[in-house]
Amino acid sequence: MFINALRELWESSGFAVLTWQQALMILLACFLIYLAIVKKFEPLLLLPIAFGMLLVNLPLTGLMSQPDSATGPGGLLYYLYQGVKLGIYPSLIFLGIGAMTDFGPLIARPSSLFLGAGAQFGICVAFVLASALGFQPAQAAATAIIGGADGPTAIFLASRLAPELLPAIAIAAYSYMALIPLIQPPIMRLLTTKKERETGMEQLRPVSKLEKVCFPVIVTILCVLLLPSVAPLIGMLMLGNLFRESGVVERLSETAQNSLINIVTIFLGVTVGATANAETFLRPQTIMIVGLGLFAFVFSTIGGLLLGKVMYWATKGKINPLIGSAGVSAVPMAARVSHIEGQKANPTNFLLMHAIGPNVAGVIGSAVAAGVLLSLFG
Amino acid sequence: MDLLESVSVSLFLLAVVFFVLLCLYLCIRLFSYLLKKFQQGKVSCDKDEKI
Repeated sequence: MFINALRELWESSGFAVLTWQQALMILLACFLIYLAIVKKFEPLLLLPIAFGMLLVNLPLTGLMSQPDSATGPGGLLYYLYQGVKLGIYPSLIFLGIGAMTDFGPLIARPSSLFLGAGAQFGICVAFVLASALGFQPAQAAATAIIGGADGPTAIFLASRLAPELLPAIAIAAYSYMALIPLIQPPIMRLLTTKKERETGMEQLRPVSKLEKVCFPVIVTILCVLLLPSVAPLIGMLMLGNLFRESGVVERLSETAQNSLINIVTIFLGVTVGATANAETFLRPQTIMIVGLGLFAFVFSTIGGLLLGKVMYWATKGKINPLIGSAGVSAVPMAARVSHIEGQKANPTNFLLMHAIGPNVAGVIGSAVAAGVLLSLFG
Repeated sequence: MDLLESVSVSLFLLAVVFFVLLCLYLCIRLFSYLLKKFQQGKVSCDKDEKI
């Protein structure tokens, strides 16, 4: 009887049904936790994603099971996942990002918008490559958005166009964002001359409070009228920015950029990770997405730099082309990389505030690109 | 989707992104210009009042 009890206990445990694929995913999750904690690879998202991946690959938990008349209510993570599925969490994260972002450098030099547009070149290249590799158009679009270097936008689009690829896309997007200081500098040195890198830039003009308050309203009206599908992302981004710049809703601004974004980040990360079960993740497509993500990042950097060079020539040397690579929307990492490379060429050069303009323009550019892809393939 | 179609879609995507950001650029420039004109007009009105 005792032996029967032990046998029953063993058979009801996860060990009895654990497959080698699930064991591999658990090891992968542990590796991602290591990258997040020890190597500090975008830990705010990668840590919850990795732990969600760990939880879902432990068998018999039912955390992601759907509600059923036979088994009863669904699992915890199933209900939390609805915020990803319905596009709520990425939009709320954009609300927090808008509340944290200063668009002053962009308003002072509006031509930075073109650098933000140029840095979406990687999305285009990745889309063509993904289609050539056999991805369906919607899947190719969801994969290509990695080139926008914007985590919430990538998750928003992937959850709508290709939810089966969501975990691979999210992990690739956040991993490459963490690797920007390694990926971008060699490309920057390859595509620019020392003279171009040494270029000093004039101080930006002061931007009035009225301009900063009107900016989010103008952007929302214009972008949403031109492209209604972009409303959730651009609308929330600009609402957050208006909270910040109006100066009359300090509590809302404070909540958006602290408590709200932190709570949503936890839910988003854990539930995106929880979609990475062994069946959906361990496929050849995952390796292709990781490769395509790298291509997308590289070509986005190239696009921004080339446009930066065009502006350097057009302005007769007033714009340092290095700020073009900051058009990828990894704020403020990409701007910091431009600044560091500029200082290596010319220690007196201070490019950080100049690079923030294209950096935040890239956030708008990648949201617009996502809106276009959603209206084409959604 | 064949290669030609995917290239067309991606060029269309880039064109739309550039177009939207161009419109935004023009709006920001126009707004800044009008604000500057308004403030210059206000300053000269204030000068006239003082005289």
